Amino acid sequence: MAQMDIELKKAFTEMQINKLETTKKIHMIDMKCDMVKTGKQKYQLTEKGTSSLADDTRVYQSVGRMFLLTDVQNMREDLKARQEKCDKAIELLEKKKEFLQKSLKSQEDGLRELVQQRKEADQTAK
Amino acid sequence: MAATPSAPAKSEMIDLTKLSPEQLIQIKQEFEQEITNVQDSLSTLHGCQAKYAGSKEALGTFQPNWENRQILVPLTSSMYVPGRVKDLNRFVIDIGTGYYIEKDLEGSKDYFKRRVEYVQEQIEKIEKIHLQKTRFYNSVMSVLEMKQAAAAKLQSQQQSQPAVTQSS
Repeated sequence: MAQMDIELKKAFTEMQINKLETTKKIHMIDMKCDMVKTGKQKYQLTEKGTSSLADDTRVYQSVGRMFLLTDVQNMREDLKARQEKCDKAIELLEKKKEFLQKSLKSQEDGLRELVQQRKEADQTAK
Repeated sequence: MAATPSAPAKSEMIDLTKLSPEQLIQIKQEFEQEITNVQDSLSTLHGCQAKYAGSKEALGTFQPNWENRQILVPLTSSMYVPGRVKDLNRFVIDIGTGYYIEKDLEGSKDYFKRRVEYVQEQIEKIEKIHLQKTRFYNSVMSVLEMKQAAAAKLQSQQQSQPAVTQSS
């Protein structure tokens, strides 16, 4: 009985640690997702703000710390491409999060099962 | 106890349960300092990785049709002079300690890719250390709380609970 208690306690602690780590990972994915969404919003605002520019306007693209002269058409294409890239990144992150949430649920179920086992063991002892 | 933790861990657990509250508090403070140092290292590495990733991204946007395009060359963070790109396949990379190497576009991309991966490896190593120290810290905290709770019970003239040795 004492031995079983200790083993249960050890398993319980381990599962609890795993649960905390999974929860932390989910939070990090949430933060990353928010960052990507904010980035996409920035591109959308830029697109809206520059939609009235004449086609012969000189525009510069930022590359690192340098700026490169380009034209309005290329700029619009580039902004669209970046938004699509953001969409794909968000989709990927949400799939990852879904996987982690399933993992978290199975860990919680595992903990619940352990607690149940312990209760049954106590019942048997009486 | 049937549990068989490794010798060093077992030794450490025994030491923890036998140490006085004052000693535990001292160990706790030492661990707090160590954890802070590890966190600072992680911040530095993440900053470093961000710089390499920035360079990698800049190279990624380079296109062959940029030949002879007009550019603005940064002199400081708020001043630029106009220039023109003449050679799109030659890059000079600062590799540290005052040395630079010249590489073509693909070579440069490969260099920064490897640097990002290398820094990521170091980050993962240090995160393992951080996790380990956090667990030790939590062990010390739980033993300290147990001892303080036991002392409180003793003071209230109650039968104190026998200390349960945990292996982790």
